[in-house]
Amino acid sequence: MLLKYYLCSLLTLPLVLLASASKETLVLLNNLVIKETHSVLFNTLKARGYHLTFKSADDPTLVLSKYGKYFYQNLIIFAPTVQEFGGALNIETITQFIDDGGNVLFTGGVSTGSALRELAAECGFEVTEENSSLIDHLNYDISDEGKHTLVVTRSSNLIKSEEIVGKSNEKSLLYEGTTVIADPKNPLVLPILHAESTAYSYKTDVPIKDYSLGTGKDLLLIAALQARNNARVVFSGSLYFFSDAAFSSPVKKVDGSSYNVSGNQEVASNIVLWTLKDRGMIRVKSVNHHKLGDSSPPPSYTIMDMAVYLVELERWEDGKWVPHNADDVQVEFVRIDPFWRGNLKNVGDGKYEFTFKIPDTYGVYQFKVDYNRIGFTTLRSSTMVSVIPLEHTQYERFILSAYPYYASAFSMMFGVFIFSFVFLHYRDDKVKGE
Amino acid sequence: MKIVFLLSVLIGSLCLSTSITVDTYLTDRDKAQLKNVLVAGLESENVSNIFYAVAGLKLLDQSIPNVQGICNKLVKLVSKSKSLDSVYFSTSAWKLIGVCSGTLVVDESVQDVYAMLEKKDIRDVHMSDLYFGVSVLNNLNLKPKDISKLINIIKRKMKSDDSIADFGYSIHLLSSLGPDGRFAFNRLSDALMQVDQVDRKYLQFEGGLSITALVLTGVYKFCDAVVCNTSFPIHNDQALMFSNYLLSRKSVQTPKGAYFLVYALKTLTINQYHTPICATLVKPMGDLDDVQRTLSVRFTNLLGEPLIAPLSVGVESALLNNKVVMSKNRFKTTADKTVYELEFNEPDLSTGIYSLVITATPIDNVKTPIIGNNAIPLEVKVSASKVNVVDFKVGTTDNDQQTGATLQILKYGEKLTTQLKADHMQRIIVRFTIKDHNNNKNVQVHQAFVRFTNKRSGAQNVFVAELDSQNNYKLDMDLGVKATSFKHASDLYSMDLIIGDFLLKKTIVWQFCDIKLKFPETAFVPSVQFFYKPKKLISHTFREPETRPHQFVSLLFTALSLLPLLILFVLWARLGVNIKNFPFNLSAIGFHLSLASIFALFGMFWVYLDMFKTLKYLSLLGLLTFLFGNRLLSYIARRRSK
Repeated sequence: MLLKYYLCSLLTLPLVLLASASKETLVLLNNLVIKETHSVLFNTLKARGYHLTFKSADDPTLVLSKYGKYFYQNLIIFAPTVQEFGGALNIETITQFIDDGGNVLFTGGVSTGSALRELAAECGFEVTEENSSLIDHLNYDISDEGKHTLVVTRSSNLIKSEEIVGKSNEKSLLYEGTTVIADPKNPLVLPILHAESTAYSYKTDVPIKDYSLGTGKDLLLIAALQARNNARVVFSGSLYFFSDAAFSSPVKKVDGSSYNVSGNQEVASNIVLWTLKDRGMIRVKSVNHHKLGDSSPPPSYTIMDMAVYLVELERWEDGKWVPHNADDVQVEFVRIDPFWRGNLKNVGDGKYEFTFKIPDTYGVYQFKVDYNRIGFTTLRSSTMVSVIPLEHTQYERFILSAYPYYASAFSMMFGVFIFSFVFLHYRDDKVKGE
Repeated sequence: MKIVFLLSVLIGSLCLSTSITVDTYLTDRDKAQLKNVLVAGLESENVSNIFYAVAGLKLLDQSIPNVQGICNKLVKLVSKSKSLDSVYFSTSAWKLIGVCSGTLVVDESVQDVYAMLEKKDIRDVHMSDLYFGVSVLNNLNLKPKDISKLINIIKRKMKSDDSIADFGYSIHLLSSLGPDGRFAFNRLSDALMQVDQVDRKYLQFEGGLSITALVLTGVYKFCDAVVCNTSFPIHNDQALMFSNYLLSRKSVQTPKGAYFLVYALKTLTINQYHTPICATLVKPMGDLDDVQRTLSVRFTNLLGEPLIAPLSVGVESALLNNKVVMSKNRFKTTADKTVYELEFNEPDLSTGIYSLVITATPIDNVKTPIIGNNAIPLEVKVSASKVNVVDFKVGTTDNDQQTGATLQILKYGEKLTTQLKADHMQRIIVRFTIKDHNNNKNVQVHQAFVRFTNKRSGAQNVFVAELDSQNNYKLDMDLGVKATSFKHASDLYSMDLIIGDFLLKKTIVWQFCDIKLKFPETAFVPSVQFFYKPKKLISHTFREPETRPHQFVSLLFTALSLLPLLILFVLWARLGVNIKNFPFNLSAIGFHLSLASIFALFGMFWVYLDMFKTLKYLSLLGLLTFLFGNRLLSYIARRRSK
């Protein structure tokens, strides 16, 4: 019986388990020079156990899957100018790959190829016009080539999520490239890095006419999509952001603030690891529930019982699962609509519990945990239980207001008994006497 | 690929022979970074990394820290691994350090090398092993016993379908054997055919930096050894493209890469065939304005060192917006041997980006020709040091345009003393003109934005001022339309003007007024905000129990319902009932007992029994009652009929 309840919630796990073992990564490049100019990042990934396969983006032998089985779990496209992918790779196969849970990291540039534009559009990002680059006349690096396109962005423009970008660090970031705009109403798109309010995106050598694109904070430099199947897609408008040069370059903003080395390496590695589901992964380790005072799940609950729901969460960190502690996990007790929604109390070690009174309506209910936080995979667990009405003997006895009924019923029964006795055995002496 | 490459080289050498130039060099910062990479490599437990680090530091003329420690480590490592390459790396590093005390125990490996050279069957001998083996002998000041035999082996091993790495090792090996290796000369151009061209700017061999550098340095060394002279196989353009490739890899992070990078750059710089030079602007894009009118250009070799011969540098052409602005101007030399200066002495120096093409020729005859010195393209930026914001007006007007706009005039740098107010039925209007401080002309800038900052929440919105035909800027904003971008947040906002352009020395950010915006309240709820937040708590409301009557009423009615029984007894008492006819037999006692049990069972059913148990007992009791009752009644009927 217990097993059955676990099975229910374990159904959500296989995907997560599979992902933690997924280290096969296909890296598509414009040319092999990029493999060397971004070697620090690739070495970081190799050190984390990823198996990287480098291919040219127009390689005619490119293939993601065969007979419905994927060769790779992750796809990194560092080929900003690619117009068309080689081999069996195209937008449909990549979107299908994402739909099947694959993770994709891709970067654009000042001239972003049509293939990547289309892919970005599929994921809900709109890449700004061809040849436009992020310009900021107030926040550019001193080593800028003169067009104010090597932009310094404060780390406070990063999304507030330790899982995605790492611990907050005041080192500024160097960025050079294009930008994207995302629909702010799309909750699945996360703005990982946005531009300063003085920045804009346009062609550097053309005067601005009919500027209709977003400005300032609407412009996203790095945007992420965590799909409903937990597949992660990250688009960066800058390939430079991930390069060895940017990692080791000092930052000196024109107005003075300077750092010995940019914050790019830390942030970029974290973003990449997040994309490849090496960070920000949580799962349900176990689910249990029982009546208050018991320790194992009952076959069914009766209305108005006191019930205890227990769940244990784990987080993937540095290659192993560790208990995940949070203070905002909620559980719902649902029969079509939630009857209860309560905060799970963290009792330490990643264990949570919630004690509540079962509603007074019987039916088939579910314990539902639907945990959706920025930077983490979406957690969904549901456990079905049945709630039955009170049995005949469980109702309240001896209700004072019902005493007249009790009295009349018992007096009736007593009356029948005594009357039948008298009626059967009465001897009418008078009649006899007459 | 090869044909395409050949064609491009042909075309390149015919018409674009002057277009390939090198625009960067190994700066002091790059050298420091490479040094850091190499010094970190010394700590490695891998003998190849130690060799690369030692050799790289030697090439950079850097001292090697903790020499004896490294020597000890080499002794330790060579005793662990006797493989040919590790012996090669350790003996090479040993020799490069030169001051190691102690000895490397490698006699066994030397015997192995001799055995390898004597082998009849050389199919399983790798070219790299040959190279390592012979180099080990060289490092120990030994010689192969029979050089002609060795050359024979190499001849037999070198095939046209060799991997490019093997080719690199073979020419390195041959170059160490002197002029006898000349037979391989024809193979050089074959190998150079395999090079990949990227973006018409870079040349590299498959395998990246280390292979490219290995082959490149091999070719130079080989030609030094066999005296190629004029038939040197690497063309000048190719040398420049190799230089560009190598310099694009400045940020390499491994000791191996760093060593090969420095080694190849050094070979390209110091050789008897050509010297690639590099022209760079001292400041990014020259960074000129109306005060700083001297353009400084730095001419160096690839390693950032000054060139041996002084240059004569002249402007071939200079264009601003496709119009020729100057020609035949010449650069002057300066105290710094690497820097040459050009006066931009136009009286009316317009701002903009100038495309310069310059050519540098050595004044004296030099032994090795300079390459990459013709038609060097430079982009020079002349920016405006100061612009003025004039005719600045700001105000609001009603949407229906019935009343004219009431605009307030402001001078640049001041702030409106009164607070503006606007609601969703109004428009905000800002007009201004930007003039060059020097020639008082209207200037077009790239960025002319008006920024609204919510004083309470810090939320910012940016709007673009449009340019009209007279180069005046205007922002005309319908607040009702833009309400959504303000998220309907009625509040006090501050307004800034942002004027920026890369042809502007200083970006203007000017807070010119505060404005109170009022938007209609809407039920605008952005769902995104709540998507990642905890949801509202729900607790179930239980049905209220029905109100019960007062205790007294209940008890009263209990008493009333018991009354009929009482009346029965009273009436019976008056009638004088009796049970004298009671027959003391089994059926009578049984019947009444079982009837009483049925009623008692009903009582128990009420208190704790469930229906199924009750029915079970009842069926038993019912049967008994029936049997006893039947017998009792028939007994009574018989008695009566008597």
